[in-house]
Amino acid sequence: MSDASIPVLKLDHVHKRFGDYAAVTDVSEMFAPGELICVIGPNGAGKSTLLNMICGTLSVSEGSITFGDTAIDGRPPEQIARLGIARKFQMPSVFESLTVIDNLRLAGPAHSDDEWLDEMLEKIHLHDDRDVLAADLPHGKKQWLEIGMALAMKPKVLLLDEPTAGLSVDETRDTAGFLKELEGRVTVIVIEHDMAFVRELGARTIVLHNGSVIASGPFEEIENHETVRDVYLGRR
Amino acid sequence: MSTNDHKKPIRAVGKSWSLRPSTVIAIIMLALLAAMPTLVGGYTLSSYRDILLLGLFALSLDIFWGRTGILSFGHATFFGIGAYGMAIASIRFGIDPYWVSLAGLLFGVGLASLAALAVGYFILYGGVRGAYFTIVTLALTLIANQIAVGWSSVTGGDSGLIGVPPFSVFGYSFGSSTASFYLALGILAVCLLTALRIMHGRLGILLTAIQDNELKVRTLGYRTQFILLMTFVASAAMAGLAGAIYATGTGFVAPDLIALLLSTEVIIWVAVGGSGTLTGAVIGTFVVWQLQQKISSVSIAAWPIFIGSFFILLVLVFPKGLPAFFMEKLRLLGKREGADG
Repeated sequence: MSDASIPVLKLDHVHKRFGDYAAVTDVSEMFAPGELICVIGPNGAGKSTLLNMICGTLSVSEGSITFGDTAIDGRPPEQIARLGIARKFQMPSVFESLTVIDNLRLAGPAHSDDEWLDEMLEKIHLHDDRDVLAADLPHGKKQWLEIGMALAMKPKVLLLDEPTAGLSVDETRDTAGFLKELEGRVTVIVIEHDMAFVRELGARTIVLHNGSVIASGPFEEIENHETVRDVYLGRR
Repeated sequence: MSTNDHKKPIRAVGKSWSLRPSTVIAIIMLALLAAMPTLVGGYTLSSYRDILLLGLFALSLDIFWGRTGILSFGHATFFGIGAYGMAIASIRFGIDPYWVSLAGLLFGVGLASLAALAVGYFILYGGVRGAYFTIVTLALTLIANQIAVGWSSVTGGDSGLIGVPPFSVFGYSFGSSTASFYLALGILAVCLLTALRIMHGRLGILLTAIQDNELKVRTLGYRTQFILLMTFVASAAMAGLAGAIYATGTGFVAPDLIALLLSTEVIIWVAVGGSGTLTGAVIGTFVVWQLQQKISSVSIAAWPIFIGSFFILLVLVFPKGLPAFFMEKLRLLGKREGADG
């Protein structure tokens, strides 16, 4: 999958219903290899549900999701992960009973050596916390550790659910820089509420409202989109 | 889209036999036990042999409960199946005495493993966890006990089966109390050190992670249901092994080897030693057995009352087990003395 014109991930008329409640309605999107995409929208818009369906932790009610040329809807999360889709959850989901290095070791290749793991630790600024229990890390470092774990899987698609929640201004800026470095190499789909962060990324932005896509395009256009301003960003 | 090829064989990450404190304690404990026949003999030594095998049984539960956090309340089922499998193969099948013990061992351990595979497949792949898993396994013991009592033409019913020959391999019989003690100790040593080795490696880390957040582990690419099932089957096989050898030591089997009381007792042994520590499971078995001897010598009726009260105290005061409780006290004492000095 090196041809940039072929989508790495394709959502085709995807729906998710919980009983009578429609959490996601008729979402169709295509994501190019190496593309950085932001997904924004008010709480309850269906953003996390969308990521949950992509990574297999929720089933698709209707429609299909294709990764490269492989249909992945209906597959269990471990199979989807093995294909190359990594996920960071909204709440930091690190293994608190394990050390930082063991968290990374589990996420990374089975034969990963210490040198490779140390490089990963450097990347996520956790080198000094190598043998610290994940439970003892502050919130921001847990966020970084989980991003590191997702990257350690060497994914083709990285799904990040609110990676900057609870981070300081400096940490948020670092995260933006870090994600921009990944652009062109890994397809990154980021759910965010922090508009300054989304603006900093300057990526294509998809806006969800009541489970449907109401706008999609460069963030500068989204910021001035009438409906988006009405339902989410507000008018200044 | 090709499959990501870096995932994910389950193999040890340890580079060598790293002597962690728990391994050192295990080796010291095993060395002390090896000297036991020089101190005691006859009936006492036979009792210690039985405790070693019950310790192995406790270890088997700890491998699953201690590492995954999922409590099996029916582990006596597998111990009992191992014991009954050995007894039935030895007494009913008319096998050549040269092979009878090995055949009985294979039959007992095989049956225990198959039972765990059949039950475990449906409950673990069905997503049954936590209290529901505990209840299902508890029901399993009740069913197995009913089979042991009711299918008397095979199992001997309430009376059980008498006349299980001592364990023998290629003509050598472990009939004496010393030989059967060393047989039990050897098996325990191999199982304990192997379990420590494996649990200090990638599988141990993985099971701890599953205990923390199974869904997250799945999103990393691991087939957690399969890993849990294999751990459950390995745990049941070890319980079956303990039961099979136990039957060759005592010479008989009875329905109390496959009963709820034994399923409860083994949980207490592991809890006393500290669940998840592995070596602690064996230590816990010895501690509770010693207490049982002392208290029962005063009053047999006092033992169930004591063990029930003791278990409540255990959960409330030292939930990580007695060894961890005393180690923590020693650590705090050392800290205080250091501060005073």
